[in-house]
Amino acid sequence: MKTFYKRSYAFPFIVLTPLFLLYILFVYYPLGYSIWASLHLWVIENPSESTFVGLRHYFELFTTDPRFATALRNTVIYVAVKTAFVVPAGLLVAALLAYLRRGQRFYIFSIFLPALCTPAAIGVLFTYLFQTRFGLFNYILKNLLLPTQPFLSSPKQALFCVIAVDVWAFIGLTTLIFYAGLLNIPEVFVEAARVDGAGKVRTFFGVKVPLLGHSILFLTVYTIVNAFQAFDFIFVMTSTGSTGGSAGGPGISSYVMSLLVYNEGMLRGQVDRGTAVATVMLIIVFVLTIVQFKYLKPKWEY
Amino acid sequence: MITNISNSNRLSRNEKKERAGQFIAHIAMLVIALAFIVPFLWMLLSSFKTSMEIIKIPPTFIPKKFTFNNYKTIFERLNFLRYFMNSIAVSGAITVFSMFASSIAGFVFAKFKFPAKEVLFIVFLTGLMIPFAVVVIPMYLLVAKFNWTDNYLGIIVPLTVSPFGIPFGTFLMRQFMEGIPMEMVEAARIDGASNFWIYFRVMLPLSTTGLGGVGIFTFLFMYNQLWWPLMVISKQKMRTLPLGIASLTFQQIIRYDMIVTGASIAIVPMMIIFAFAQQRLVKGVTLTGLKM
Repeated sequence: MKTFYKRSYAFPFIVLTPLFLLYILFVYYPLGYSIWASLHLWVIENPSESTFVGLRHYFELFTTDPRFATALRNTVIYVAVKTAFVVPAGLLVAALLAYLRRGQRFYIFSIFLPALCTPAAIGVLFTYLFQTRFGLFNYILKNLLLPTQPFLSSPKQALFCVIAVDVWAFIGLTTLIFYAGLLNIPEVFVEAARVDGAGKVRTFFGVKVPLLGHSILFLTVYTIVNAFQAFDFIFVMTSTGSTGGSAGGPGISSYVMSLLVYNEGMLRGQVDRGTAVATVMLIIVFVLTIVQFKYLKPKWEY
Repeated sequence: MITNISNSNRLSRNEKKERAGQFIAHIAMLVIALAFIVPFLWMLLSSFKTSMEIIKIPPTFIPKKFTFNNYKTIFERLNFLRYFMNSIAVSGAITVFSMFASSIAGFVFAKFKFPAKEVLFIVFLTGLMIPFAVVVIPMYLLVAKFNWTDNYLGIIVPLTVSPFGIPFGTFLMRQFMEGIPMEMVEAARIDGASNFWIYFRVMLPLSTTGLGGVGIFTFLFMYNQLWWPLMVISKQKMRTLPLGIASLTFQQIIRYDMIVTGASIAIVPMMIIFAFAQQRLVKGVTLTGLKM
């Protein structure tokens, strides 16, 4: 037996070495670079000429940068609203699906389809539907005798329009995972509740929802981390019409963190400030992950 | 006797109640399903409208005049056929590489004992938590140094080794291959088979289900990518489909006829794939519990 294992040291080494070298080069090296550059006045062409400035960029971000303040606030709103909608809505739709005796295939098809589709394509499609003059949504509002809305052209509404589309595209995923969870609940629990005289609604909230605890926690954390990094929908839906592809409009009203990294680091070429924003994101996701592991045992039932 | 009669009465009343409930639930579910289907239907129908009809007030649902002109324009003048092929080529290449690499790495992690195995595995998985925004700028500078901008390699290599390429695939393949009995590997070894032969002739044929799942998800995930191609591609003909679609919004005057047509080109293939592979996809999502 021993000889087999001895002989096999070489094989893992041969397989894993190139993979890890590539992984370090394209994941961990950029990670280190990001943190390092954010502490300097970074000279892209010749990094050795950069001067160390400590936390100056972070200090500036948190005190004097209106774009960072907007991006941070919008990201918090984005995360809060998206999570508050997709988790409960997914649970309710899943409950409805589990209650039905047939037809699930079609319903799942329609609800889950947006979750598979290219966000860029969904985003641009909705810019058409949100269009103020000839868009579908204002047409519906008009027919319902409600006031038409400026939607994406309003600094107050643009962010919420994007969140709405993201929610719409994301609910399929939460629904599907909750639905699978509901089907996996052993009949004994449900039967026991029925014997005790609980109705369908009572059984759902008193027995099934608590049994789905793992899925609820997992999806909540997953949605938070996912929404925190929102980029695609914002990028294609809030374009300010410039040829280079600058988004976050109108003005800076719909900036989020990822977009700020792109605009700062790529469009304006300020690598040090861009990486400082990115590092703030890293710290927040890191904290979220620790919370997740502390409160959520990594043992999925489904 | 009496209890029997009342029982059957109650049953039928229950059955009636149940039927009414089912009916109401179906109505509710239909309304919900419509909210998800109508935007796509609107998109598809609009892509056959003339450029005048698409900005008409009030909007029309069914095109008055059915035309394929939008598709002609977008494929011939806006180069969308090229974007579509770029997307297929790039995500196809990423999928093939990461299926190969993650299955062989999954085999190593599942069936070998070697020092620091779990540590290495955690190093792999920790990458999954790093936001893309954190690595995107240095990754761009690196790729620029390799002269890989405006090059397929510049998209393919970083995305293949990015956390949701090989590392996540390895995680899934390891789980899957741990379910294959060790005896299969031992038996092949006694027969004098090399490790690579065992991988190719024993492990791969036994894990086609898992490998298929990894393939589908990698392809879907990579096909949808926008941010990374946006970073490395500036030449028009090198654009991927999501980038081509996004660039329709980089204009002062937005052409909504091109927007609905571009969106249809990206979405219709997904609809068809999903319609045919629904059971497998749904099973895959619920098993991994993750959208990538």
